[in-house]
Amino acid sequence: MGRARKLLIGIGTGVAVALAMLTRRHMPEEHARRGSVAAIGWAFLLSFGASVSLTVIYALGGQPQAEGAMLFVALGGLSVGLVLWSHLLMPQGIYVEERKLTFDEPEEMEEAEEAFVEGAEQIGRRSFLGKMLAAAVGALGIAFLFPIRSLGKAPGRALFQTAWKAGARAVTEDGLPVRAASLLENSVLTVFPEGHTDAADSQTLLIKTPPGVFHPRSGREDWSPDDIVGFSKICTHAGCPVGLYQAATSQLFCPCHQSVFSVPEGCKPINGPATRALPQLPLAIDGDGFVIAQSDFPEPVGPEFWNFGRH
Amino acid sequence: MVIKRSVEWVDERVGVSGFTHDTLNKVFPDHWSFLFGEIALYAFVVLVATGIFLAMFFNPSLATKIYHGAYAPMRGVRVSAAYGSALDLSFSVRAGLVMRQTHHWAALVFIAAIVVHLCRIFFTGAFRKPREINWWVGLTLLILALFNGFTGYSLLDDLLSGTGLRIAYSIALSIPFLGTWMAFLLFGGEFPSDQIISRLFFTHVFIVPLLIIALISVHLALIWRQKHTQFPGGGRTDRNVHGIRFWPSYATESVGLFFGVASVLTLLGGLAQINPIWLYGPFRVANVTGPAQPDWYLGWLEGALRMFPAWEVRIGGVVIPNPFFPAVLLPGITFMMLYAWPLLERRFTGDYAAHHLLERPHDRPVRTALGVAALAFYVVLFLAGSNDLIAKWFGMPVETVTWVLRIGVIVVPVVAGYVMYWLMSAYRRSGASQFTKVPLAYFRHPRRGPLPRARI
Amino acid sequence: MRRLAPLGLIALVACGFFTGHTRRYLPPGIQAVGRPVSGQEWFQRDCAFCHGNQGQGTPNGPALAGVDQLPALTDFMLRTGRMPIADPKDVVRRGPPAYSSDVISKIVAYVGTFNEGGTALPEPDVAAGNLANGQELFQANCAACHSATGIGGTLAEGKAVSASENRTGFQIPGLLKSTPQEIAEAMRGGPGTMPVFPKTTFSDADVNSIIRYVLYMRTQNRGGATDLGRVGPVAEGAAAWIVGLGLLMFLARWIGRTMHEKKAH
Repeated sequence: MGRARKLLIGIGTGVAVALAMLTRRHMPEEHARRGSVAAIGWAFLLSFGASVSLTVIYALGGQPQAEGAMLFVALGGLSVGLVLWSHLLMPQGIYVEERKLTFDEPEEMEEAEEAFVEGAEQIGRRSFLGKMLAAAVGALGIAFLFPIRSLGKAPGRALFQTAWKAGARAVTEDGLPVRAASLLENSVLTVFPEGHTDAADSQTLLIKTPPGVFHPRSGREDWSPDDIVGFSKICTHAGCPVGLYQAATSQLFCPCHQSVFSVPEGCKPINGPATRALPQLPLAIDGDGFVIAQSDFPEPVGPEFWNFGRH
Repeated sequence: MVIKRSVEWVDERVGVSGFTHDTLNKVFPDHWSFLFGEIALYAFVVLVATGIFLAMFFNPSLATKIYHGAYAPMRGVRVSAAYGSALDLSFSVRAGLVMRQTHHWAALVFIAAIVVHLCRIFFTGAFRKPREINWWVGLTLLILALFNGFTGYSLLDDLLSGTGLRIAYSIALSIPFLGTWMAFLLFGGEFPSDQIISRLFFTHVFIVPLLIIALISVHLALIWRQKHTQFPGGGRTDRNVHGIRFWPSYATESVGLFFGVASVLTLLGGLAQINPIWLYGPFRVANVTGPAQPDWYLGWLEGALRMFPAWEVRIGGVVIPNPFFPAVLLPGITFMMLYAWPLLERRFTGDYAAHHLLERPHDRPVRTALGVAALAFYVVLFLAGSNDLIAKWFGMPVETVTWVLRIGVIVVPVVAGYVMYWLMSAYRRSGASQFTKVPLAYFRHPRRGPLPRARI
Repeated sequence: MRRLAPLGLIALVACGFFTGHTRRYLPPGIQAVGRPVSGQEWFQRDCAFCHGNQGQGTPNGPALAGVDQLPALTDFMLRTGRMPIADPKDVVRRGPPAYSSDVISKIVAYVGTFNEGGTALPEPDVAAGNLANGQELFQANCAACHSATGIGGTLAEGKAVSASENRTGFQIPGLLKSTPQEIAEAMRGGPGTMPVFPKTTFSDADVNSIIRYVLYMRTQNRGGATDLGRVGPVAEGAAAWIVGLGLLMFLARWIGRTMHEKKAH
């Protein structure tokens, strides 16, 4: 059943039931505040009708917009009715009540202080027991810290390495290996090491750069066979996937905090908050023409942490 | 008759009639600006009510399954149980989508109302002695509300919130010395762990709500005990309360406000789409969508992260990564300043006395100017959180927008604070009853002439 | 009045900044003689000044000869009104096409002769697409730039090497109005700054699925009478403040008193 039809049936029933109720209970006429009472009554009647409509719409299978609108009228009618009732028919004051500036009653405070000091002295007299108690409670407190340790694994070396290793084939998210020849100029592909498509820290962007565009760092000349370069897809700023490749300028752009990485310059950050280049994955092409890694990334991937320099 | 008998029944056993009598006759000041705290309270009630419904259907698990529900593009797609149950909640559970959307709108309005309430307290000096404790309780409630907003938003395991979680993980990681351990303990291991959703769920539906309820109780009990503040004028003093009685006028009005809050939130929940997780898709580690923003209440942090220059600190072998400064230090300083404000102001003004009468913003031009400058600072940060959208709407490079805002975050607060000081000083000197009635001459020479006597 | 002068200056500069050049470019020495008929004539009249009369490229515009993505890319540029541009410095934006469909086909066919064996015009078959597969491919490959909701996004300036590389107006177009043909051509052709999605990595079936999902996705406003422009949390925050808290402020104003009144009623 369509939205309009449900709405129509719902509202129709609501109005009908509300009118039926109205004919049985006339708005009071003999009252001194007749206008006020009538206005509040109408507000409640509106709410009543809307609630009936809401029930009918729900019973017909529900429809979010109709439900929202009917809830608005049902709750809003109650709101208007109650506020009018308070404003028009209830005592509005102004009433005045006394209050104290502060709560301090000198005698009471003195008594309380005395009672406390007296008790404290009883404890203080046994200084040996006091110290032992402190030691026992302290030791218990430290023992209770250990369950916190159970919350997670130790960081260990996890942040310093990924699942890439020498000879690992690059595969797509679906696990298909990538043929070097299938990458055309200015195409880009997200890959993982074979068998680790769920390894978040291993996601890597393969980009086929136009010839002559990419300038490898010295010592990395053989990391980009056939102008195919591989860079960690995890932003070195706050860890978002750097998913936005601007082919015309060979730049990677992070949609989270707008860091820009220049692919020709080894993904050096050239704008935005990132301070470190995206780590480069040394690539090679195996005998069957598939893209493989020569080794893991030479440095930790992703956002920095205090001791990340100690890789 | 029934009511009378049951009241007697309780009173004979517990002895409540004295307290009840005081309560019913209690007088409440009745200014409209005092109602934002109540709006926040009622939004919280709506959050609890809708949240209970949602918890009946939501499955906080990262176990994967193949989706077979009502939303066609996901059929046959591998999704987490959390994401799948959120889709079912939206499309298969009757009234589920209205509940989900109302819950999310309520969260946004809840925090907005708290912020307005906080501003009202600040600019009228309601935090002064004896109300410092309630200022601190309120600030803690704000922090808990922000935290619970984020945990709730992150539960659904959709692409947008998953990206947010990843940023939260990176922020935890950026803390010097403790970061790696903290991130691993909070998330249960390297991101993304398989435990984070169930931990978030328990935090979101149990731990934090319980704390919020406890602190709201303290907040209200203190208001009850200390009685509400009031504006000066009309015979109102530090030693009396002018207003309407709790029973029946104030209570009826207040219940009316509750239904009003609920009606506005259900209106939004039914008619305005919010967080369409079916469009964002399930979280996948290598996917991302842009423009990517958090909910508004974290916009200032997002903006700080976007705007902060590419700086980091290296001392010896230790790095303090870039996100630490905008995302850990900035909120740390923000809330420290807020907590310390009543003490700081006391120190600087030498006013250690108790107050129940409020100040108008122009009674304290310096405080008002500082408050407006701080607000301007956070508003600019907030805008920077949308720098990509601003760039899109104006057809500019995003770098240009960021640079304009980097300058703006320094200039705008100074200008706004100075202008506010100038306007408030003139208003104060003129002694006018309303801002629009201040003679223009006072604006030209805001500091000339004597101060009018305070009107109390 | 003197105080307003700097404001006026700023406004003038701002106008200049936002409007850019709009004059129609008239290449020197080229005169339109009558209405062109063949694709070649159209090309020589409207395209050759920048792209060269053999498609070899000029300092004003990129070469067309020897480009793998043609002629699919040409069809995309003409059908979405991105080409021709009046001035080589103009921003390349979507607009109404400058030619009839027939003329476009002629020009495309002519441009195709520059590069035999280039990317032929794709023929998407939307009905053959798989919706779920399209959803996954879209999220993985398209959402980062065009947004999961299809509204498009923004680009970074970064280090623009030359003007021709930065003609996008720093905007990533939305997909809410794109036709299946345009989407397929864009994927295969990689217009502007968009990467290429070639047949070797994305099959025709994949393209069909993505298109089917885009067409489906953009009709999905299940959450309400308004989708708030599909912008996400920014629009939601604005609505929460303006509509939500705005309405509640009026309510509070009605319920409570102001400082000067005893009670409005």
